Amino acid sequence: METSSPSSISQERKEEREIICVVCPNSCRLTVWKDAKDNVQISGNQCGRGLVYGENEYLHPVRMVITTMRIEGAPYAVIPVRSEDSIPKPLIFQAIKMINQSMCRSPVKVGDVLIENILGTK
Amino acid sequence: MMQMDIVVIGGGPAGLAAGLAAQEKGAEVMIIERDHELGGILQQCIHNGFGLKHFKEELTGPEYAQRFIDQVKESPIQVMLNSIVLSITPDHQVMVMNAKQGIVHIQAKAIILAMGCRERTRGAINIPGTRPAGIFPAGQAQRFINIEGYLPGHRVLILGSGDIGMIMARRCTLEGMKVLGVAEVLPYPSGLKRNQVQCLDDYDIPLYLRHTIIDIRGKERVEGATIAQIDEKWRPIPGTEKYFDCDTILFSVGLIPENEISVQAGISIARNGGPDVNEYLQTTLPGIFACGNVLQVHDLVDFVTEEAQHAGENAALYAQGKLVIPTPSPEHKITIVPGENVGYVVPERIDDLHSEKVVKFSYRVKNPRSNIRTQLISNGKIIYTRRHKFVLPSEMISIEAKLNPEDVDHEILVNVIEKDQLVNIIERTMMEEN
Repeated sequence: METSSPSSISQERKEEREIICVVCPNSCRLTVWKDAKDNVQISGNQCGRGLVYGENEYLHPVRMVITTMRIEGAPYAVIPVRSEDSIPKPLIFQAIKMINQSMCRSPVKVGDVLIENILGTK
Repeated sequence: MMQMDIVVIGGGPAGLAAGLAAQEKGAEVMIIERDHELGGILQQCIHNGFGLKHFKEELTGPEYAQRFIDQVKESPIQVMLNSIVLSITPDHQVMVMNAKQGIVHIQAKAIILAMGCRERTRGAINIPGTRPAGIFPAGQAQRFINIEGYLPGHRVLILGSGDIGMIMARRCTLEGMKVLGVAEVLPYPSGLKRNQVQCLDDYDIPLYLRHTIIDIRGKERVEGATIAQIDEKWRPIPGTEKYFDCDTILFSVGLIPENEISVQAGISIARNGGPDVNEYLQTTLPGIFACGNVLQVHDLVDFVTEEAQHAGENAALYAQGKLVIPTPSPEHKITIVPGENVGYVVPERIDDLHSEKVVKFSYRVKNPRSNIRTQLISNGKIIYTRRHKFVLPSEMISIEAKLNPEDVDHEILVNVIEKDQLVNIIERTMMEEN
């Protein structure tokens, strides 16, 4: 006769990943997974900020995109550019490709917008 | 001869902040910079993470520099670009050269050294093998990519997991290079954890700890390199060799303060490679001050700014005759001694402790530790103590200690120790003094 104990079902972990928290120098090793009800669970954090970081990094990892863009009319061939805010991590290489295919013209000042709403990220 | 209150040598973050602080105290300031624009090394540090402490914002290197450049532009500070300082003298004469004016002599009342660092090269660490093209210090590759728009190569191996090495691993990857790996001689990455995650792990770049490059192959251009694991004496372990088919090798193996003109002028250099300074950041030549990377290699530009402001204020007061720093007699010299687990301390001496005052100390530990404390010991007693959760050689520590002439004799020992070593250190120090 087969039995399945209730505890083994509630211990089911889906899509388990290890994430190193970078919020403070503790650098806790977080283990993040989805339980049977698809809720995100985290262990290994030593504070609340780690919980927030872990969940965001697991569900919607984001990164700043910082690179260079070609410029005409300036002493050097490229200028540094950055995304205004973080964008979803999976879009990074696509964003870089778009920036590499673009060009701008001197003069350009800190804060000037060169590409609006890149890849629909606003 | 041109007259000037303060001449600042270097227009990077240290020079800019020092110049502004001196000008705010009413001094007439000139900043001399060899590049065609101000900003120094920050111009090529296009990643973010700058200014968290100073501006409470996360800026890129150029953005951080621009804040100060804008202030300098609004101020009466004079700027000499495309100009290189050839020499300085103990009586504050500066000889500078540029294409427009030729050689110019300036008589200053005080000088602030802010020349920054150079990178340690492959040759300096004696990596064996051939000497083909395609070998760069990491910062040089950074300049090629971020300022001049060149790609250094296609398949790259990096030696050194300090922040520059890891940041270049990411930069090269984003620009389409294949980063084959980062080798590091230490058993732990020497840069910030955050960089390890966002520069290496994010792109699945392997990190080979306790490894170094033992051979480079290639005639005209790099063709490949071999890394091997090293033992505790840094000798390669036979059988652990790994060959990489690469055309580019980046070296991130340390920064060296650029003190050629300091040495030429007769300024004493301390064990960390920067000028020996007192609590006013004055070197061993009166009226010549030092700040920023030329004094000690920093990891946070926010601390460079703070240190430079301190030097700038003191230089201005010195130039105005309002700051008279005594040269202490041998009985009154106070030397700061790096003790347990401390690599170096700035300042190296206290020249003017006639009444109680707060002195800022910056130092680095030799080994990473957790749950530890810093102690300042003088005359057999602990005169200052502070706890730390973590200390890392890659993170400079800064403390402010109140010093009292009654408690301080001719030496202040700086120790970083575990709690239970407390008693032994004091006993040992007292024994050595008796």
